[in-house]
Amino acid sequence: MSLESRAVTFRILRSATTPAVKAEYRSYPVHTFPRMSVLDALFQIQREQDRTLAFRCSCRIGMCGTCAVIVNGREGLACQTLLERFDGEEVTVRPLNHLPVVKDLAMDMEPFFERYKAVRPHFVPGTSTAAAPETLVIEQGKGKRRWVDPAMGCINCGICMSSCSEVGLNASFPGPMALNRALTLVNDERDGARAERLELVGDENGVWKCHQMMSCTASCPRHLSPTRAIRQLRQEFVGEQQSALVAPIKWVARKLTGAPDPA
Amino acid sequence: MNELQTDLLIIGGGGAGVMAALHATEANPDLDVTLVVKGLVAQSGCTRMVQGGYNAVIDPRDSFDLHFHDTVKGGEYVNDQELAWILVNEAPKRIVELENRYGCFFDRYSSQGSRAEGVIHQKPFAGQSFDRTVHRGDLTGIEIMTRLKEQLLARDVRRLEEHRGIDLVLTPRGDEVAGAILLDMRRGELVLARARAVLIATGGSATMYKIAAPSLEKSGDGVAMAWRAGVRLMDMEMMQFHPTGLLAGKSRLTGSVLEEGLRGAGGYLKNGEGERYMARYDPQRLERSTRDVVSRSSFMEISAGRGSANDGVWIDVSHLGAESVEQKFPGMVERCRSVGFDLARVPVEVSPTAHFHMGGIRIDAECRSNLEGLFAAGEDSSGVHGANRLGGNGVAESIVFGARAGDIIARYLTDRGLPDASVETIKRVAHDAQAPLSRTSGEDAYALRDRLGELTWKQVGLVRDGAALRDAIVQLEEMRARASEIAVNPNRPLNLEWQAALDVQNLIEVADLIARAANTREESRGSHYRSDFPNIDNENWLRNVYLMRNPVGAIQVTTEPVKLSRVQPAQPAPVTPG
Repeated sequence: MSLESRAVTFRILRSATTPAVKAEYRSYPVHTFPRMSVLDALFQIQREQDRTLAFRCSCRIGMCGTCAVIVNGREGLACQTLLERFDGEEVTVRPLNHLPVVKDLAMDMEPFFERYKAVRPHFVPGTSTAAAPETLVIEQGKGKRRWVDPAMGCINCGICMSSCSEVGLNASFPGPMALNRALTLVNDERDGARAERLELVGDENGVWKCHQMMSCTASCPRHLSPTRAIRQLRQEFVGEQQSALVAPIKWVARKLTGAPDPA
Repeated sequence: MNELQTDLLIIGGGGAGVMAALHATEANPDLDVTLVVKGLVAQSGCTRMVQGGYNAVIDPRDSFDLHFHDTVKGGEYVNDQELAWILVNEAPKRIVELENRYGCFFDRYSSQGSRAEGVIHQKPFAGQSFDRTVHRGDLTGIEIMTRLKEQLLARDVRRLEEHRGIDLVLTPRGDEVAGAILLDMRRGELVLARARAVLIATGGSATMYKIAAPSLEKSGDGVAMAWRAGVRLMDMEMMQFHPTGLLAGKSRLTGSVLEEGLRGAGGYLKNGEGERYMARYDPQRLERSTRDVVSRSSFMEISAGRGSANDGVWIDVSHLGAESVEQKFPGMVERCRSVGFDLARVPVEVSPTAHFHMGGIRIDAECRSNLEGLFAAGEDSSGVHGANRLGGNGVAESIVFGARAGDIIARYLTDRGLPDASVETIKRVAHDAQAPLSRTSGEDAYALRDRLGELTWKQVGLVRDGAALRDAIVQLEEMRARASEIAVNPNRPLNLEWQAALDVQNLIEVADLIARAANTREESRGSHYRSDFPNIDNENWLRNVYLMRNPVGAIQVTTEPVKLSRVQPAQPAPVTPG
């Protein structure tokens, strides 16, 4: 941990240029400056040492979610990963797991968004919401929003997906990014597709496949907890199933006792 | 060259571009819509980076008149008042749409607020007579763009990610747009996209300056392309500098914005001597003065030798209470912490940072340019903000005018065919765009970009004068010649050096136009400040500055009086409610 300049060696996984040449690590010496991030180093290497190096970024302030890479074995946003965090003399950078590489550190994110789409991540307004002429009065952080608000703010960087072993093993598992989004939607009272979404996430490749290893939670640059979201989704799913079982029994009971139907 | 045909070609995948795609497909699901994005859709661009929020009249105590008046007063009355009126009128509708159709959720009042619990919260922003900024914490852009991305993924829109617009293609007669030449940056191959209509929504060119806030891939591509195609531009001299860009040494974080709400909430700005210098420049509004005034005041303090050690000033919010700052501005606190500064407890070093271009493509109320078939929305256009943009009006503009362009173009396309494309243009553009790859030696794209940053910061920036501007025009002419001789490595796929060459070519083009317009406007107004004409001159300069190329390519600079269709500068503001 030092704010002083020091010499480190960047080892970057460069992708195959032709089918004959395999991906390989190449080394680049870097002199750090105070508060230098991995992204700063990539820019410096690209300009001063190897202009064929490719990586991706837009905002450089942790909002766009497009510069995710694996640094010394852990996923992180290149722009938010400061070199002062590492004591060693080597910094190894490679692309995220479970994705095809476009070039060097730029991945094709499409497979993650295909999994995302599997939970219908887009808001589907309920009939009353769609008809409402104004925004709705909803108490923040209360009722069902207690589950939604802490799970918001995902930037779709794909870090949780890369860190998840189940995503690597099971092509049908939607993954933490998708399931976290599903939780926010099934608890959004404005949304009209709750039942359909619970069904999508509750099947045999859905929430039950998560091993609760917390890799996603540990690596999320926005400090979200997809693990907690998945746990809650399981409860929502079970609750829904139970009420589906219990409802007819209650109906029979009401008919037998002459109790009024609930409003 | 690969070729594709589409009904609507949208160049730009930020707030304006995505809204246009959603609205056009909603209006006519049979339309073939193609969205061209320089990075990843809805993740690159500046709407994504919006921190502060979105201005909209929602509170019954607020009014369209008040928001409109704030907007044109902030713009020093050179706004296109009809465009500003559209912004004000449509902004609340789009908030309802963002929430009730797309699932955005903005912050609500708690039980302690001035309105009922659960109603959308609105916070104060500088230059506004009412607290009307809708937000999601201090990272509003993530909420808006992530929800819009999800909607886009669920619709049948062709997404061309990591593609950039190289140049527009006109008809053989040159009087209509027929599409564009794109570069598929992943494969490094050009694509001819023939289209029945084209919408430009790429964002601005503030990135030309040494210290700048926008996302890194932006390079004024839309305005540069439009200019080369003979499109009429307006008020190019109006470039906004945000007062509080973070200073973090050589880190790429330098220039990123610490949001306006910090001043809105009562933060102090202090010079290197610890003095609240805004008292000298705007004793009434102090730090809550408009962005142009605060930025220029900071620049003048720094120029006078009263800056901090790293040529900045200090923003100090520690007196607001560390807990309150951490709760209200978690994103800003974390960003500062990531580079070792404790925003909640100690002053943080900041500098004015190039932020937003008010000038750009002249559009009418239907988002049309003077070129048949070509539309613009968002930062590429001009007129909404006049000489200075209010915080919270930028994202509102992108969402409102993107949606509007989508609706209008869908109607426009009901009786428009696919125009023929000029073969000569295609050949010339393809040759020029690929020339850097075939040179074995030549100019260096990055060195040119550094030089451009220094030159514009010093001579086309916060404080300008005629001699410096004219010198800049001469230097830019020389730099333009150099930029046409750039050599890059010949590997086509995802070649960042080649992109840097194309970026700097466009930025030099736009910088020259800014310098020319700034040299023309011999007064000071809003973000445009001339030390040789330091006063506002309503007698002679309630005018807009227009730039256009004549048929032989010469630059024509003209001015026209502003149409004061709704309010006059002398007109008093509507009474601010208590």
